[in-house]
Amino acid sequence: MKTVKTDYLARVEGEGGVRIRFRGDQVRDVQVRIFEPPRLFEAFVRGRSYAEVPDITARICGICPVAYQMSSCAAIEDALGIRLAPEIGELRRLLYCGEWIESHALHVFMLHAPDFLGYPDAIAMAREHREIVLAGLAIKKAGNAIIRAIGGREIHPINPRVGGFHSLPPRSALVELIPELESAHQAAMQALQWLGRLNYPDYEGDYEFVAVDGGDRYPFIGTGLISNRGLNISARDYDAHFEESQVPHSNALHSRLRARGAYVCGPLARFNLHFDKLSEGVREAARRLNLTPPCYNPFKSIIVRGLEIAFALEEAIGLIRRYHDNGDAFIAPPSAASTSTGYGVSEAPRGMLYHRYRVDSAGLIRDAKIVPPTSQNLASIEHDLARVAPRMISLTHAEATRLAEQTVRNYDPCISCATHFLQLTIER
Amino acid sequence: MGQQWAGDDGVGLAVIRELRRLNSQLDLVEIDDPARLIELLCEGADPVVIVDAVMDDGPAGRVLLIDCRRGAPRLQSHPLSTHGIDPMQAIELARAAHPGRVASRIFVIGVTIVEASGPGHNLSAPVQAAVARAAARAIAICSPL
Repeated sequence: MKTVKTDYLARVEGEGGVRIRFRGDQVRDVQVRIFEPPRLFEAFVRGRSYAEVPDITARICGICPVAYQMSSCAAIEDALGIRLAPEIGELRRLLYCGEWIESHALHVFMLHAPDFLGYPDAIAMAREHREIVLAGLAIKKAGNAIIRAIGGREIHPINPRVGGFHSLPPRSALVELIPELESAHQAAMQALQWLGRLNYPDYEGDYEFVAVDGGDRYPFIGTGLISNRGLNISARDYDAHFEESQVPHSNALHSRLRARGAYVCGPLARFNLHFDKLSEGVREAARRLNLTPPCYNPFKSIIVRGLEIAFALEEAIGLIRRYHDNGDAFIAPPSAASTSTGYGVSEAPRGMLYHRYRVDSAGLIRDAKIVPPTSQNLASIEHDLARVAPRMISLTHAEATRLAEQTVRNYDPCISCATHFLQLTIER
Repeated sequence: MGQQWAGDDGVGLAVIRELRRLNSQLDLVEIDDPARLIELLCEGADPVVIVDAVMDDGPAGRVLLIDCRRGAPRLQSHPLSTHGIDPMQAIELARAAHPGRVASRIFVIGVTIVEASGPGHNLSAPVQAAVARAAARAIAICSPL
């Protein structure tokens, strides 16, 4: 029996690991292990005011706090019957653009690109590909600037609240970001050409892709979920179609569709389901890279993230140009007449993020459910590793470890979020 | 560096508050994102002292001083960061990406913790007890010789 083991899975958010066990040339077992202490946020928000939930859940993840704020706000607003003004929805979309830009830039240029070039990390890559690393840092900085301008600070923004925002940023503060965003967009489009020249393993999975239904727009926040195999439901029906289960080797729960099992959410799902809603410029950039849906190669998700960076920058510039700061910052939530349950879904950079809250008449949280994208992808990550693992037989331990890590990083997993739930073990 | 609601992971921010309480003349910056650190290291401050939580196999509440002038060593078996790069990697990335522009004297004051990122405002007792010592260390490093 041979087992491939990496004691620590580098360049993913938080702590996680993978163990692959072989018998001869056959893969016997693949486990993605989450050994980060299980998070208690679902229990932590119970008994607390709904007004605190966006700030608390934002702490689940340091790289995608906006996603948690947006899904939690959407769910609580659903419970309380709050209908946002369209302008507030647009400002939330702009804030989300900032998060996609900075999160994708970190992952593409600092975490995943080194895999494709054989570098152990971004530091080594920066010594020989300095310009692309600097471009990535500049793009990330542009995303952070959006979040700081709207959210009040870059990490764990303080301005979002149930019903809208505590205050509206001055239009001038957003307009002055445009030159930096345009420069970042230019860098992003050039980076796409660089990404197109990387070598991509020849691999395709048989995936069901799930994403938020954003209506006629590329989705950030929505009210429904769709898939490439016929799923078309309201967020309220999530629990009827999805289930979570505990696996012995991980603190994180595994999600599955009740009817069909494992699925994938994230950039590749969005790209495959909503390609026609990207801007024409980004669609054309994808076509020049010979990347059009359907794409079932998870290794090309790094290109899709690059495309989404460019799209989010374009979207942000357009939203800023249309922004006016003369409306109400928030709608005061009504007093809850009775206990009610609300549901919220949004597209975190890593994929669909589902929140459900039961709010009582005193405005306190009685029950919470938070399903992060990484836990939704864990089953597919294990499946991919099982399919890729036979290639490791002929590799050295170090080479096999890098291939396994690269495979896992296709999903940009945020182990810190996989709580509601990584160390690669390859034993030879 | 640190996160406010993440238990002992907020020790860096607690040291900042202690330095403010002491009316320190140091230029104090709170950051959660090591990638932001890359920029700060190139903005002209010298020395730069980074205060952050670290995890090793020992007990919580110790104050470690890491001199990064000749490289940023890995402190533990895995980075204590939810952002994909830790402060040590940020230092080395800054040096690789901006040669000649990075502060020549960089120190990390690491306060050891046992568990990171549990929800809650407060520091554990041993980590809280280390805050004053860490602040004193930062002042000592930055005092003119």
